[in-house]
Amino acid sequence: MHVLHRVHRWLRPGGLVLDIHPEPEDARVEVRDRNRVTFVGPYARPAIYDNIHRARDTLAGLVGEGLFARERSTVFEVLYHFHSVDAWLAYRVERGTSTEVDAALLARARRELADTSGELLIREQMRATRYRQRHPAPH
Amino acid sequence: MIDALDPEGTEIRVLNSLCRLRARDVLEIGAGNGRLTWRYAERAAFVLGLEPDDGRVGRAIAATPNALRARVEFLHADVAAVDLPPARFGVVLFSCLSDE
Repeated sequence: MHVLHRVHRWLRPGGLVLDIHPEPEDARVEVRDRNRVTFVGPYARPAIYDNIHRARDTLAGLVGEGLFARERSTVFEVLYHFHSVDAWLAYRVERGTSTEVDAALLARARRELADTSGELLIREQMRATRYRQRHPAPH
Repeated sequence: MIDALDPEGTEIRVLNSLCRLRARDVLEIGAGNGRLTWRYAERAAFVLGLEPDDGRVGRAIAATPNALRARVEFLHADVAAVDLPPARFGVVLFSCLSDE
């Protein structure tokens, strides 16, 4: 049984699924020093894009089966803030992050941050979608 | 470190715009170390956070505010195998950011 079939069973009738995940596209790495923003480069995470597409396809399939109704969806942006490249890397270690960061991107970020009091920003596009459970849980 | 991510609170504003969590029983799948949980749990009736990484579960439990201990639980579990009662939750929340 797929996880989402299990979720369907755990929901009360008419219950909601809220799905929040990154858009399958590169994030942006920037350096902001006061009001000046410098684009450092794209933060590519191809390892997760396939997973995101698969999850979307699965949910679309369950909507097609009539188990869930897709009610609302919105795209928004979240920001990560770090005072240095090393702070970003330490954060990733703490979180056990599985994606990789291009060494050239890190080097460019270090150069842009050098001799400034600026901060490193990572902009990630996210999508949030609400689904409603439609049928009694299957057994 | 946790404040490095979305200190603007955009994610929780979007979440609140999609669903009222007040007095609802919430199942959070992939709760991590409670990053998002702490931003909405005060309003929920009950939260069960599932997380497959036991280190993260330990950090989430350790960080649970006393005021929330009666209604927030974290469970080290694989969502594909965990046994939960049917029709238990009003909301199931999946939230995943790439750098966590």
